[in-house]
Amino acid sequence: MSVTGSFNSSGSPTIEISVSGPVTKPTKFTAMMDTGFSGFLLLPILEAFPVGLILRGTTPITLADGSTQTKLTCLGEVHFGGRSEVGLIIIEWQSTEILVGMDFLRKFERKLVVDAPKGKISLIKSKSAPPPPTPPVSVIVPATPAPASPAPPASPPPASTTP
Amino acid sequence: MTSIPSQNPKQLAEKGEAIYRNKYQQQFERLHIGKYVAIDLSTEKAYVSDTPEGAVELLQAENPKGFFHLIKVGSPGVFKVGYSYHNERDWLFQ
Repeated sequence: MSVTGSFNSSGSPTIEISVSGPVTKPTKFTAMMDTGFSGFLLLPILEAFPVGLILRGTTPITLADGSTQTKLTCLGEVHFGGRSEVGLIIIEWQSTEILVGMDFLRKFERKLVVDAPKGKISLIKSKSAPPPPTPPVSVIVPATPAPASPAPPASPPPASTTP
Repeated sequence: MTSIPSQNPKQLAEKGEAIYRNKYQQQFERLHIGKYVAIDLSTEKAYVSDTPEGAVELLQAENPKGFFHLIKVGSPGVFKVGYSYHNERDWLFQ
């Protein structure tokens, strides 16, 4: 099953998601699909409060210029395409963009198709990896004793052909 | 178990980094490179997993109100983003 998205006013691909905290109902958001973000979901702090996310952690993130910044973080549940996944949400003070990243695609098992000329975004269900090949099984049949029936008469030994 | 310590986020992150550096870094960089570590700031215990949420879930199963600092073994940042800031200050951490 494919879920379609759209382009926002700045021409970036966006999708519709819902986010819920431990005690709240899902809240809908339009999130930008950012393949330059390695995480699951990045949420501006002002969006995180109404969702009821409980901020219990900190984590460093690496910015595009190579510098590192520490952010508040928490676990949260994201609903998308009829599925829900729990992941780590980065809480961002300086940005107003909601971003979903590569970990989002991995968790929801989707591949992103951006058809810019047609203005179409699709998140297509990615076939799960095939199971590892199973080694050929050697079946060993144990020798069974012969049934207790009278043994057929022994055939006479072949006639000797010695001259 | 204790809950959130009465410190600001910057101090909490620094405390988590210090616990990791002093107690775990040397050993984990030999044994768990690329894995995720959640440090419980109240107990100073470390929880290692293949995924970030896995490490946090392990910690929260033992201390549901624990405040954590998450680290990726061998990397300066747990995640990468495709943007940077120009002359902006983060009031939470600077």
